[in-house]
Amino acid sequence: MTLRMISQVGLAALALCIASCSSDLIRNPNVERWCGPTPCDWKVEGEVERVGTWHPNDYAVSLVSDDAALIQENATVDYRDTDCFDFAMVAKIDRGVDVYLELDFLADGTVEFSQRLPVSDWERRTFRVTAPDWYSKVRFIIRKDGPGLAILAEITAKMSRYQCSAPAIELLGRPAGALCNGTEQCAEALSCKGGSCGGCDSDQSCENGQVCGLQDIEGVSYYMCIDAASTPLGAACDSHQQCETGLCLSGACSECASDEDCEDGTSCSYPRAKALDNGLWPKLCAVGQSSRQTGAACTENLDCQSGSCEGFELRCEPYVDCTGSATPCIPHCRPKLQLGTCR
Amino acid sequence: MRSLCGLLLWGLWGWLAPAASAAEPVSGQHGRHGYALLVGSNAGGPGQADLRYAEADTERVADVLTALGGYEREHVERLLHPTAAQLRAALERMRGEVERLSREGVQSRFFFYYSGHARADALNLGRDQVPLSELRERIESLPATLSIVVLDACQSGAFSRPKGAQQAADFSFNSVERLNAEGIAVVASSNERELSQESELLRSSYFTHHWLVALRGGGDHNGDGRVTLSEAYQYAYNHTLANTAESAVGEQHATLETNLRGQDDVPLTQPALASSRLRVPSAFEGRVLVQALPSWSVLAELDKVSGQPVTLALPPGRYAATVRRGDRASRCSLVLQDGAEVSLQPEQCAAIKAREAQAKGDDRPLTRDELRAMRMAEQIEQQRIADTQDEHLLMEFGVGAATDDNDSAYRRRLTDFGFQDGRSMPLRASVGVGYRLLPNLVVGLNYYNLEANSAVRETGADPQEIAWTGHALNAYVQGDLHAGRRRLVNLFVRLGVGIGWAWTTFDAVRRDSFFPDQSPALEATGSGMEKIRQDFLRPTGFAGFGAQVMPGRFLGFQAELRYVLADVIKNDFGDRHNLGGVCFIFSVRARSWE
Repeated sequence: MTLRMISQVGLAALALCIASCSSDLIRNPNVERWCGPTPCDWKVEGEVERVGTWHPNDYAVSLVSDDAALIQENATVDYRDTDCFDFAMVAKIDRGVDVYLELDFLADGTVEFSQRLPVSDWERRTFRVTAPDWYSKVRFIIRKDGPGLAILAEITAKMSRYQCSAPAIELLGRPAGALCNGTEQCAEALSCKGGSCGGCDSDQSCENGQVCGLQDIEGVSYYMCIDAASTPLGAACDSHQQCETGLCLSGACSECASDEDCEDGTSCSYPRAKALDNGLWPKLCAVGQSSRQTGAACTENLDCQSGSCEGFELRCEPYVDCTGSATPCIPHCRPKLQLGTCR
Repeated sequence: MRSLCGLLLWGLWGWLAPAASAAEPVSGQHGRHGYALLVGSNAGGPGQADLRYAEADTERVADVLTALGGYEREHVERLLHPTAAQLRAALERMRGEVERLSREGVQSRFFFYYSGHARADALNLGRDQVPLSELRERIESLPATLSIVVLDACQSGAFSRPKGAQQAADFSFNSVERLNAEGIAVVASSNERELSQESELLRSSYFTHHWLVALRGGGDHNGDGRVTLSEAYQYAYNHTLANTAESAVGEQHATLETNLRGQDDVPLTQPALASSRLRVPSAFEGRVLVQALPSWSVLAELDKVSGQPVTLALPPGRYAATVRRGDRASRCSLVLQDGAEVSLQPEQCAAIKAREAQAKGDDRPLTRDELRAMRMAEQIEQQRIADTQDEHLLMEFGVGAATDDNDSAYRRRLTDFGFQDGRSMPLRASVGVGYRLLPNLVVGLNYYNLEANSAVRETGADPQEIAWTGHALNAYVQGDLHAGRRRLVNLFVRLGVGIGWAWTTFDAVRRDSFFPDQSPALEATGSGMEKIRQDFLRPTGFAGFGAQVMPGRFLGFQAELRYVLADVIKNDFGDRHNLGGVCFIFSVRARSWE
């Protein structure tokens, strides 16, 4: 891996870290900023009102109507950032008033977590919530159900530095590509295979001429029914049937498994460009032996008779690991291989 | 002979005569037409011991003549310890002045006073002598309209005509603007056979002392504000006789010879017109001893009867008045100011030991133990009176530090709302003024600043700070316990109440500073802030104790530990915060000192 690639990885990781590793998950948590009649960064349902607290100019939001709600979505945080939320809340909630903190982890309108908030007289309350083992975003909802006084001065959510000890929130209806432990966690018509929700769980669940193969779609790998022998050399695979070469080796469609599979006595090996250990490198014949003919797949110029290999690309999909006690976030690179062609 | 006979042992007091010259002279009497020759000589001749107070008596007579008798100072000649030739020369000078006035047709008055040694036939001026006959001849030959001769010497009555002393007639009072009496009057301190005596207590001769008390107003028998020759003589006669009646030397009878033509008694002084006066109420009956401070010299000793007030003309200054009624004695400290009359209020005087008062008013010889006890008691009394006259106005300027009330409801509320500790300035300043109301009580005003502090909340955009500070002004009462002369060290306890003024400033997000109906794609990254100020006014108070050290006459230092209660600021939830706390203040202290 060249220095330039390392730098790109680092900068990308930093950017990702800044975007998703910031511990504050809620914007304008003290509802200090008001955009007209509603607090900035919050979507408002029902009627709310700006009120003073300990100081007439230290603001809070009063949930006036019986169905008043504050909603804010954070689409930059996912299961890789944190599995534990640290909440802090300062509110005035009268006895008998129903106010709920709700979390919607798919932002699809289905609330996976709902907790009625206790009576409060402006004291600071802190608590943790264990997030699902997989989520791609979170929508925070503060909702009043019925009459009564409910004023919110602060609702802060941060990525916790510590492990939550409570059981995780159950998240069902996960989309394709989401991590899963069982098909019941996946959305309708999806199955859990290989730890991800996908479109199939076996070749039998697909139509004739199709296999249940691992596909990398927009950076997310999951199983889905694909035409047999349609996965090109070098792409991720799960079975021999899905590869054009008919050979799926170590998760990548390969040209050969051993030297015997190669013609002209050439050897079968991984390309010299293999630098990252992720198991998705295909094996090719005559790697680096200047013997591959025009039109053949290649990874470097030394692979080709012509001495020219065009189109080879090793993209790095960076991602960062902010889970658990990872501080700061650890950058990773998920390589995406695109073989070249000998000219 | 005036020497050891009848002397009292005293020796406790300073000897400075009060500054009689500070008194404004009484106008409207003799003015430029009166001349006085005052002669005093302590020197004793062969076989005679030196006198102690003759020359000082002369000075006092001069002071009274100029202050109350209407004589101009430059017309009063004093001869102290003169020779016979000097006395004769002075008489000739007087003759010249009087003759000049006579040629001008102006009435004149001549006053002659002698205090010193004498025998029946001559004045003894040390080794010199001036025969009494010569003295009388010289004085009688002066062309003065009226001559008054006062002799304070042993056997001075011999100056009178051989036919002896005569009681002065009771002349009725009339105007003193014009001399209505002419001739010569001679007052002698004793008859031709008696000795005139000095008093250690009075630091004067008995006769001159009582003569001057009379002239100051003690002798104003009819209360008309003037003291005439006969009034003064009667007073001096009675008191001199009373003081010497039981002395070992023997009684002393003053004599008065008059050869006057006219209808009126001769006015000598007008105490009622003096610029400063001490009045003894008419209801009081007892003995009053007036002593000047800080010298403790006796200015007047009265045996007053009830029914008529007595007004004494005294120079402005400080005095101690000892009042004795029966076996009870008390003492007041007085301040006579120019242009004012002070009335003695015996019921408000502080009680003192009878031994002191008895010793002062009694002419019997004191034992050594009594003398020692009196000296100690007087030193204590002197200090006490001095203390009442010492510092009056006080000022202090101090700096220090104080604790903050970090656990107040106000602070806890800020923590709940996400604020963390900000800037704190523990420095305190204090400025005060005070007035010593009583020897151990001071009242005053004290300003001090209150806690200055802040708390900060780090929000997603700009930080928000709440800051507070304040000031307090309290009236205080201070109790003192002092030690050392001139209050060198003073321990104090102080309580103050007053008003506190404090304010808070809060960084509030400016209203409507953001986008209405903000798009979800827009994320605000900055806030428009404004400082919101709230003012608070509330009672405050403090309690403190400390010590003061005054190494200098006017400047010293003070250390004080105090607790300040200043719950001035509060939030809208009613939580309060004490901006006071425990303070330590070190001050520079200044005082006015008398």
